[in-house]
Amino acid sequence: MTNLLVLSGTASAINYIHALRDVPDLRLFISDANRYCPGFYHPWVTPVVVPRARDRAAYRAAVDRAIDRHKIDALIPTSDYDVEAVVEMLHEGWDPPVRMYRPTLDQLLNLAHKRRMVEVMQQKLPDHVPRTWVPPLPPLDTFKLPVVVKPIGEAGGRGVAVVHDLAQLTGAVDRLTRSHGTNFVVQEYIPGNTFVLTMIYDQQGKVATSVAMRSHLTFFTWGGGGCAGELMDTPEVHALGQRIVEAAGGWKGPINMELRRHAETGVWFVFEVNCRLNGYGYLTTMNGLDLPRIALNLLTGEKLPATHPVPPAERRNFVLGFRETPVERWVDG
Amino acid sequence: MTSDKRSTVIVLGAEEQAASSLVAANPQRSFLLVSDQAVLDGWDLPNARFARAAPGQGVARPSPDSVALCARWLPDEDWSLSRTMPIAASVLGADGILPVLKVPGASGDWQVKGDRWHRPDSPMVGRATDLAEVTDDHGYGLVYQAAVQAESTLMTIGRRGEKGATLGLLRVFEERFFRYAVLQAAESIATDDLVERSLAVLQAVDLRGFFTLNWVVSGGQPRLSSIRPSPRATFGAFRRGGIDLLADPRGAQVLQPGLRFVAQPHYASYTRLES
Repeated sequence: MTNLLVLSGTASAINYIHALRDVPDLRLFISDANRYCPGFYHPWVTPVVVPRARDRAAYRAAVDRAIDRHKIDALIPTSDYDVEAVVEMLHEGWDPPVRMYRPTLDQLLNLAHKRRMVEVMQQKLPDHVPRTWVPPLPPLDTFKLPVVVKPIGEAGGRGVAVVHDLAQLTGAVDRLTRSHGTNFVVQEYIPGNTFVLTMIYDQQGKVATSVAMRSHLTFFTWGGGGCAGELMDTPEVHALGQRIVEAAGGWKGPINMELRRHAETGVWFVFEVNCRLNGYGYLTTMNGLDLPRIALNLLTGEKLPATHPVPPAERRNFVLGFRETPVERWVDG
Repeated sequence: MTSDKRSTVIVLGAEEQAASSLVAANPQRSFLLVSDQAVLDGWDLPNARFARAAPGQGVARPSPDSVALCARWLPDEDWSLSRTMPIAASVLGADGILPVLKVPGASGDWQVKGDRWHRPDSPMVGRATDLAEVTDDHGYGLVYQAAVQAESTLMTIGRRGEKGATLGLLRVFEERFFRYAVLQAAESIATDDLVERSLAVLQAVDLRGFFTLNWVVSGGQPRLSSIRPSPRATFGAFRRGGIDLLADPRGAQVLQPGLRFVAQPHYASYTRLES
């Protein structure tokens, strides 16, 4: 029997919950700070309420208690906040008695920190990262619009804006200066469709699987992450993804990156890296590539399932909906 | 299951979360989900068919057999907050609502909202200068409402007709905002006072059809923050409470308290709707 603790009960955690549902000899524990998160409300899941990951000391104590109480064997963080917390805790010397991916803090920051990732890629892969400015900014009337204005350290598209004129740019910069100080970037807008590349690196830092997807619909009207799409066969993207990870010093565990192919030049750009599976994960499971199972089996040493999706003719697309689902009682906070 | 011989329900604005709630809660009815969007959820629901049309055009013309899930799909009606909220204030008193303004005040924090229908994407809150970047890209009209520290959010959701009204009061624990708002977690509650106030507002604005009234509780007092002529994704909760929201309301019927639900992410394959 393996007791798996998945940190976070939304977004990519939902893929783990569904993909691992019928795995024999697996007990699934889901943690989240929000007792109303959807991941808690599945009969095959044991919910574990923990403090927010950014409340670091209390979070670490709660995760330690959960590991001890539920005899957790393996642990996988699935939200940006949880990944950040776990890697920082490891960096501080946290050494829980569980199987888990243990990347370094430098690897995480080089990939997941928006500003640092751009700085690293500007040095090592300058043709594949949008031009990016950080405060202090040049005069705003010198920017070629549109540009994207995005805060650092936020998830889920919070605070991101695509601005098309000077008044909007001034307002967005004022807003982010007030809310985030100098912790934001202004980025060249790359026209084109959004693609997602998801990879899983094993504990030795080698790629175990790599799959590309294309969005048909984004969560927000201005763009952002995808909520509908299909698998893509784009060999050049897999190679680029590995070069990006290599440039950042490597990775261990699941990772995904948002890429865009310039509508006019055809050049690929990376504009965000998230060190976890993405909300698309279940699309791959629907197509015979069970990423959550691969991530788990790489930890437990069990035989890997298929590491490639079914052939193109057999593939299905997907759209994410939010279905009203009854709840008997709320999880205690 | 026996098939229902009643007419097909035409769902206008099927891109909204409420579409799957409505279809799944009524497996004996058939539905035509209409949207001007190409990618919709719901293709795995056996009682749903799909059509693409623009608001007010062809099959998307509002009719007695249609349910509009957003005011955008009622192009000939004016349910703008700038029209209805002053009427609500005349019923509830100035302290009973959060007024909307055409321009934000010079001081304090303001939330920008869609006037005629819900503004998509993440809520934008800030000072007037911060909100200068917000443009009306979709034709909903912009209004501004003072941002208050909410202790909780309540919604009155239901349907009002010639002969009565059916409604439920919900405590909303979480709402998520993407292209469309997602009712993430909520529970029906009993608050007689709010039932009366909701009915008074609906009567004053003469809203006949589906509705959602949004209340922000601040300082222990609920204040009305919006009136929209559309339901939310609560059809299953009403069904569990023994209420068919598709039936013409008779008398006043209030959803029982203690019905809880979450929005579960759901993955399904789809066929792209072409124009």
